[in-house]
Amino acid sequence: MVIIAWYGTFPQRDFRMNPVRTLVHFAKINMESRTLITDLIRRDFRVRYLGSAMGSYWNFIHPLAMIAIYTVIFSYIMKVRLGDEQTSPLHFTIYLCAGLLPWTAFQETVLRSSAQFHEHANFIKKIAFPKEIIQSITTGSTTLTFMISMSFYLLLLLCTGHIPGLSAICLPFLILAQLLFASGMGMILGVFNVFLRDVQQVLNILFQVWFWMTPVVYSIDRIPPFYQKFFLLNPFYYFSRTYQDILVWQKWPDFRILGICLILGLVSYTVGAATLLLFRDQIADEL
Amino acid sequence: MITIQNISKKFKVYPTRKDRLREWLSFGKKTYHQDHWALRNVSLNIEKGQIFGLIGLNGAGKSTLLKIITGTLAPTSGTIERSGKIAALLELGTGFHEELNGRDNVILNGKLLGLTEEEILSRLDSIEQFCELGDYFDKPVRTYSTGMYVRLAFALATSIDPDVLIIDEALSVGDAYFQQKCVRRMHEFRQKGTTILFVSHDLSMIKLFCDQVALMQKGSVIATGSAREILELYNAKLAEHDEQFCLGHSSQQTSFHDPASSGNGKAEILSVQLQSEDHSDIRAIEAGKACLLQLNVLFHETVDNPTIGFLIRDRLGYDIFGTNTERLYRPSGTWQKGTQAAFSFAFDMNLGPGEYTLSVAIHQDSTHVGECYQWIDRIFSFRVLPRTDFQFLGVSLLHTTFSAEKVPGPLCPAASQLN
Repeated sequence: MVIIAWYGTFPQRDFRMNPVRTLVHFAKINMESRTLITDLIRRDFRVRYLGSAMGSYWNFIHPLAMIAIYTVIFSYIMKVRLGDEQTSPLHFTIYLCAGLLPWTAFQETVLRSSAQFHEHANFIKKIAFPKEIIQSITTGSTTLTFMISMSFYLLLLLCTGHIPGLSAICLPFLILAQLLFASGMGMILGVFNVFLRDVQQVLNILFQVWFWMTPVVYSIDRIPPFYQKFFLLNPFYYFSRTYQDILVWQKWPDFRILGICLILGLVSYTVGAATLLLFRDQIADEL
Repeated sequence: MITIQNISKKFKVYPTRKDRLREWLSFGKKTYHQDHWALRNVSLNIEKGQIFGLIGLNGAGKSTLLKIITGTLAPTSGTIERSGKIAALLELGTGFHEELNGRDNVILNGKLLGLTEEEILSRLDSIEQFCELGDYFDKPVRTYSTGMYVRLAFALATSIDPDVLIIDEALSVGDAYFQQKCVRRMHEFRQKGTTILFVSHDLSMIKLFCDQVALMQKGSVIATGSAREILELYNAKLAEHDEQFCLGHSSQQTSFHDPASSGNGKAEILSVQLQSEDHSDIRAIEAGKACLLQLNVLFHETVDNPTIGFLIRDRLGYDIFGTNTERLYRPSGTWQKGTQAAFSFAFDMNLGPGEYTLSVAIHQDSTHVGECYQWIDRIFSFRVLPRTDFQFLGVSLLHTTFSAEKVPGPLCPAASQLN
């Protein structure tokens, strides 16, 4: 029941279309509310499996199960091999995870984001809850799962002696770019979903298609060269490819591609933030 | 403290979800929505330290205005200035997570209220004491009763020492003991100079607490003033709104089918009005004030000396007071077929503050069990408001005087021995 007050003054309409001020505004609100954000992420994480006997262990079991399933199906049953036929099934797992784990995080972030305003409807409708931090809560929560599965993956890399080289220092930038990209999309789709709940349903289908259009389970080399260039239209291809370059092939990524990832992230986040600001005051009316 | 200028709030209402999509796809060429103005040009000024009441019928826009004040909704036009920390007890349930226990919920919600971790931890003990949940404080909130929920929420909201406290009906939940505790805490706030914005249908609470009251109707503030003035105006509006009870002329059919009404229809009660001394219709009256109950009756048959009576019940349905002309030993006379009569009872409303219902009847002999012409149960309810000059407990008002004087004479020996 309770609550409220936001002390901050409400930004005036005039700067909504100014990207720099929009970003500064978002950074400011998110900084001011950082303890609230971390608390809500923690609550979300704790509450997700509350009531189940295994509790938060499910956060570890899910990614492990997913990796196991894909490995068994593609590596053992379908005998998919990378490059030459001699490589072991384990190599396939290493390749698979490099693309699949980021993809899963990306998909989960966007799909959850599309429903995030409904998820927090209680706060939005009853208290002066800053809508600018909701995306951070969603992204933070899914990223926590992402980090858990990534640490399993790194453990696997260490155990198999497949230790990433110096190029791993690019990873934080790549992950940051991915988070911004997913958050931006999340904000845009989340806002639309407030007004039209079908958005969420359409996304569920769209992401199935998008997944198979991205060289994550298969390698792009298996695609006829003519079709390969079409993958450049898929924004997530830039991300998955850079992950694979760093983690699987242990080489420096193409910096132009890394740059594209960062630009995609920044543009997406800015557009998302502007969209949210534009519709922010109508969200509470609609929920 | 809070200055509201010309606030208006418009909601778009789409007949169906598809209409919104249609409107989007037409790129502004067509509109499918209707505008609903929940608030129109509302201006209010709430001073620091004031206890400000907001009253109005359902749908008058009180909640929308509160949400705009707390910042939950944004106004369509107009400006609002507020300063200080605002805490609101709005609807139940916000922010509490069912699976978390009371303690964790208090900590998380404290942060939602803008407290820091240290501030909330330092208040935790006093919150735990105030809400008196015992072991339940460490159990999941889903196991709480509604009353416990409210206690936890109230304890939290008031523990943060807000500059402005907004209370929306929340106090009506919870047992009498806790309600009194809340009232005491509100008095503390008042002494500390906290501004309180109070929205309630409980007119006696409004009258007891508020320095200033605003009356809202259809999205506008139609009057602001002292509690006494505004309650009088509200009364008049309520009576108007209630559409004084009227069965319609000579439509026996409808009156027989009215579930609250029964009787053989030889006499028909056309209207019942509760009036103040100056003969204006009222639905609330201060305890002890003189009032007039007026019944207009149409006789469809010639009736000799009918008995006319009324009964007042409290909100739980207990009979509080009832009488009739037979018991008053006042013959009502003989009435020819087709005549219309006005019967009046004058009495002082010597009842305690609260809500009561009124039933009326016209029948033969001393009770309606014999030949009953018409009996109408709970025609309307009315409120008795607390007095401003003195206060009392209970359902009846006994006129009381008090005197003290020194009694001359020696101390009684027994008493002096004890000393």
